[in-house]
Amino acid sequence: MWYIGAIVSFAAVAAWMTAKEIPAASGLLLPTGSMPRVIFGILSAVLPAATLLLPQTRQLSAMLAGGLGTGDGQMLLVVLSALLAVMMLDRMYLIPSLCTAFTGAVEGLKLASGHVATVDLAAGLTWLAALPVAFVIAAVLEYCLKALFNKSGIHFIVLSRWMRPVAVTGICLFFVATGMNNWAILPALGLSAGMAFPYSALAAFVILALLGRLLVHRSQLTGESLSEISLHSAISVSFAVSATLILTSSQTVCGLLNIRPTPVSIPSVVIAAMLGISAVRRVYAIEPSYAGRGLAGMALSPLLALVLAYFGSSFAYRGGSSAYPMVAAAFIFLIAGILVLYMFRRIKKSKEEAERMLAIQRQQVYENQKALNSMEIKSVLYENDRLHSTLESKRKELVDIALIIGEQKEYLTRLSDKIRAVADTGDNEERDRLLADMDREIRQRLQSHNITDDFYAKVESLHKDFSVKLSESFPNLTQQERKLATLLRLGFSTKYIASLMFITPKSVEIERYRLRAKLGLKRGENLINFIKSI
Amino acid sequence: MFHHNKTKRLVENIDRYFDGIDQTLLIFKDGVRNYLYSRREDFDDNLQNMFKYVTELGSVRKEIEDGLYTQTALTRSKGDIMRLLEKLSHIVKLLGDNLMQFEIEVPLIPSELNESFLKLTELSISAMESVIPAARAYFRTPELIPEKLSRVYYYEKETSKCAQAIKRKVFHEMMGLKLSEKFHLRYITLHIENLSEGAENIADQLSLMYIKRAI
Repeated sequence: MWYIGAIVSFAAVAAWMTAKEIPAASGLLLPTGSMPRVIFGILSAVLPAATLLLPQTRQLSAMLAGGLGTGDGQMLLVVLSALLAVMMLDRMYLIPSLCTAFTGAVEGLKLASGHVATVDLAAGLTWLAALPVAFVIAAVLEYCLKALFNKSGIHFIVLSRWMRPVAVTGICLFFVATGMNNWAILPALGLSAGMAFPYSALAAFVILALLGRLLVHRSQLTGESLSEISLHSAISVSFAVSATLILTSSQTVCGLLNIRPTPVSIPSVVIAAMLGISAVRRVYAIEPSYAGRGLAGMALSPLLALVLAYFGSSFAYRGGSSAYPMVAAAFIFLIAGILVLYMFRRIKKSKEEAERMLAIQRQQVYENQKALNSMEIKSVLYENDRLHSTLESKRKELVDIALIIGEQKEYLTRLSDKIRAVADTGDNEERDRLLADMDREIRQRLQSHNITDDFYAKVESLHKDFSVKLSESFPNLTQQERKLATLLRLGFSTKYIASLMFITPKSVEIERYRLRAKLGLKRGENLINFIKSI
Repeated sequence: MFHHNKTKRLVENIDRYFDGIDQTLLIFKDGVRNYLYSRREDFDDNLQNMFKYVTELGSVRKEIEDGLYTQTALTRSKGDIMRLLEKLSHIVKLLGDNLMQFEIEVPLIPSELNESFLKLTELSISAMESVIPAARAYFRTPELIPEKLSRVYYYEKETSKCAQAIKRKVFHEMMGLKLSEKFHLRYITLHIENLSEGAENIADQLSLMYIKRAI
């Protein structure tokens, strides 16, 4: 039964690693076209599976399986805790690592079982040491390759041809390195279920072969997203990652550095290597935020897995060490995982909905702004029309003034001729008659001259609202009274109004009295103020 | 997997392509000179040679593209090299078309403009001739690209000035010419000037490629 559990765990771990972690490095050299995709897929299964048979990998797997029981479901709990932890962190847009989560979950299980009193930090030291190692190796390789590409004087095409076998070597080396380091988890799972190494390697080969196409596809996608990485940078990063994975799996090297061989996070090592080439290029090869997400994911994965495994194990061992509570715990983990995923999806959906609503509101604001602008344009056009008509009336006024000046000049010339004729006339009777004619003519002109009418017409057009309101409010006013009201509104004196209306100032006073009566003004109320208020 | 001879051939093809472009530039310069001094037979020879080279360069370009796809491990540089070849190919096409226009349209170029047209052709071709060493440098010594490109920009500016001077002279001073003849001269000037603009375009592309290789 535990064999089946081990194989299911194999598949889950391998699927996660293939989909999420391995392509971060395997995608670097795939777009070089150095290797057909089919061969790439085959090598991705053959090389790691063969590497699992190496004594070094066996040692690492045995060490990883050291904390796991054989047959009471501890392995399942560890795998589920690690998977749940990485899935949760992935949902939080971090870049988690299953290897580090796996190690954290084992530590959590050990703590819960009471075999150890504190967490073993040796693995953490290895993870931390892996980052500067990758950084330095990538920086050195990048420096050398950059010098070769830019300063050697060798033709770029020849260099690129030389880089093809280098890229093939890089790809193979990376698969071997993953086999020695990350895939060591698989035999560890097999060992915990009592499976022998060769069978674990065989199972790993079958599962990795089945996942080969997925790895090719994912690597291709990653490679396309890394199109800004030059060939020598891709080679530098790939070799730095492979070297770091091999070094952190080696008992000898780790022994020299006084650290423990442990599977390390591939995405974090890739990020460290990218930062190494960034240091040489003096330009960021990756977004700093991406690096932050990767390093945060590396740190949080083991912590979260440790907590989940500890509580899961504590809950399972509540009623003894039977396997059934372990299964129950696993079931609860699954339910909890599903709930968490559901919750994240809901949050994501609500975020999307909020963004959609915001977009609609923005659209509405835009529409309103557009309408407002349109109204403003209309208002400006209306104002332009008004100014245009005012200009037109002024122009007409000028024309009228010019005509009047001409007419007045003509009339005065005629009058001058008549006066000269009167002066030349010797007959007194004839002179009196001519003077009387002239007097009559001047008076008629004063009475009938259209200047006054024009004046009133213009005043009415300028104070159109006042004229209309006055007529509507007080329809019983005569034409003469309306003229008086208009002149009073303009602030003319009684004397001037008298001259304009061709009446005496006394008559103006009488007219004002009548107007007050018709407007219904009481004693004490000011006529001019009242007219201005209309 | 590792085709040594094919790679050698690819490198040779790239060098051949640049040599071919150099040849077409010389032919064009000679062709314009022969046209201006009414050496019809020599001009026809130039035209024939030009077409021979245009056809040959087309097939060389195809071979280079095939080689780039099949024999190199270049990732992002492949696209840049293709674009460079495409732009160079466009210039070769322009050279052929311009010479053909002289043959078909037989523009009436007054003898007092001969020197100006020769100078314009010289400057425009110099811009193109300066681009070729920069393109060669991309493959071997990329750090020399900026130095070589500064000459291209200089010649492009000088070509524009020369073209403007010709157009001004044609429209302001040569009152004996018909308007249609003036338009025709302006059109021919513009086409020769386009060569230097093409060179400037390639220089911009090479600048970008240099930056990409430098980081």
